[in-house]
Amino acid sequence: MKKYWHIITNEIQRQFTYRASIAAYAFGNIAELVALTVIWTIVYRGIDSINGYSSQEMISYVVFAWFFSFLTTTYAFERNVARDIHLGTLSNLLVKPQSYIRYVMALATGRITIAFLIVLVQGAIVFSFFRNTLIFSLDWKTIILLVLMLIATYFINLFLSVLIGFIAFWTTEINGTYYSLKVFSRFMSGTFFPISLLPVFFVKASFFLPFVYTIYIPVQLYLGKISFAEGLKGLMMEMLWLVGLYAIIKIVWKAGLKKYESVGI
Amino acid sequence: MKKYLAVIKIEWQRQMTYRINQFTFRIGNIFEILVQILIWTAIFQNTTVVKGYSYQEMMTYILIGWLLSMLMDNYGFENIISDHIEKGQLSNFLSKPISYIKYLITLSVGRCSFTISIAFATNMFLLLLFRHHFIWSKEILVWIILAAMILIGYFIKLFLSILVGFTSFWTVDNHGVFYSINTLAKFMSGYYFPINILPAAFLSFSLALPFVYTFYFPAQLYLGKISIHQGLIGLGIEILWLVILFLAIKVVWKIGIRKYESVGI
Repeated sequence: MKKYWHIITNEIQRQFTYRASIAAYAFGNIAELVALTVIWTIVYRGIDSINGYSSQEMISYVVFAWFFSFLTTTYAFERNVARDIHLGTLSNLLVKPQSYIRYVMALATGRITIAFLIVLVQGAIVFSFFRNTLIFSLDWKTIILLVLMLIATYFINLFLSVLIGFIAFWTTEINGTYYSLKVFSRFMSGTFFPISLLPVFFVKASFFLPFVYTIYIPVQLYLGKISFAEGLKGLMMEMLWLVGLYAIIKIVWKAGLKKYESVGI
Repeated sequence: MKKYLAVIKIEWQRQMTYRINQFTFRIGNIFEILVQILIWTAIFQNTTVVKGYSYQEMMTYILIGWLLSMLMDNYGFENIISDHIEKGQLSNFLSKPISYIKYLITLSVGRCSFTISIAFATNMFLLLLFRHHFIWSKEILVWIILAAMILIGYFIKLFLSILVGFTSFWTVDNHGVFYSINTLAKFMSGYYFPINILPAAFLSFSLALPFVYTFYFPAQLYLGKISIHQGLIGLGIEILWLVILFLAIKVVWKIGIRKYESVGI
């Protein structure tokens, strides 16, 4: 365990090298949120409720979905995994007495720490800016469940990143796949707007994928649109997906390693 | 001139290496457009007009805006420049009997011509898919001005990317800066929503900046919300920006090259 702890602290230190660059991301992150709040504010001038969402609920939805999604993002970790494979750095890691998958999990966690803290600060600023519109709920039971869900969300995102990164065993370019899946998952998870605004067919289909449990369900729970019991069910589904994804990672890793040619060293 | 033609030809061939990757990027683009279409479709189920836009006009705004802005895009060209500077490859170009800035322009033309044709095909596919909600403009004069705007808009975007890429003379790892500049530029260009739903002061401010001419302005012209006379004035402002940006590139290049240390070779 201790060796993985070192990986985390090393990576945190490494991240401090380019701290200005990490902080610079924060400005871009806010643009999408501003766009969405502007659209909804203007739309709600003539209407009282859309699909059962009042103006206050919709703005809260958009702000918290934004906040949760940036708290749980892996910041394109698939590129790190792909780089390890493409440049042959993976060989270096294979000969060490550690599991690559566990190494990757520790590395990713160290890697996001500073960005995570910045998002917390940024979130606090955004919340205070919207303090008159946002719905704040401080039910302890819900918040604990929410935190657990977001931790699960982070690991679902991380496992997906690792899986996409593993595509690099077979192809030399993963950027296009990464980008497309990113947009798709952000869309299906309800990061931009509540999934329930979509046609019924979409909503039903989305519950067969992991994404809806990563953002949409947590925000709905926070807004009190779904009950605590339904929230627990959502957490259970996240757990199931985590187990499923982990199993897939193990299988793909085994198949990928057979294909691995250690090009680059 | 012939040597620059060779640059275009070589780049075209290089792009063909990762042709699948090109396609996977476009799938992500389609999702991005669909997200916007779905948000506005959901909104228009509750109302018929938003800030003077009917449903058809909003759909047309999104589809034509995307089509035009993709034709003007240079797909992250600043990353290539910053790579040249950070890895010291720039020295390689400096010793050749070519102008680096001219080289960059030809490189991007070769690089984009392939991507743009695929992007054009995918966007036309979307247009046909949504043809019942799309307003076809029959004004020949509008199409001519649009063609001129695409051409100038392409170079405005390219010059901006070159300027942004040149920041690598002074800093390392500026991906955060690139990301933030790009999202802010997207926001200012009217990519998320028509700029004129914002207060009038913001609109006149953004009309003085170059960004709005890469999405909002041509889309409005297409919709007939801007007269041909105003469109020609916009074209004049674009040309002015082109000159300003080119001069800025020249100045920054002169200062930057003095700072250049050729690290990495």
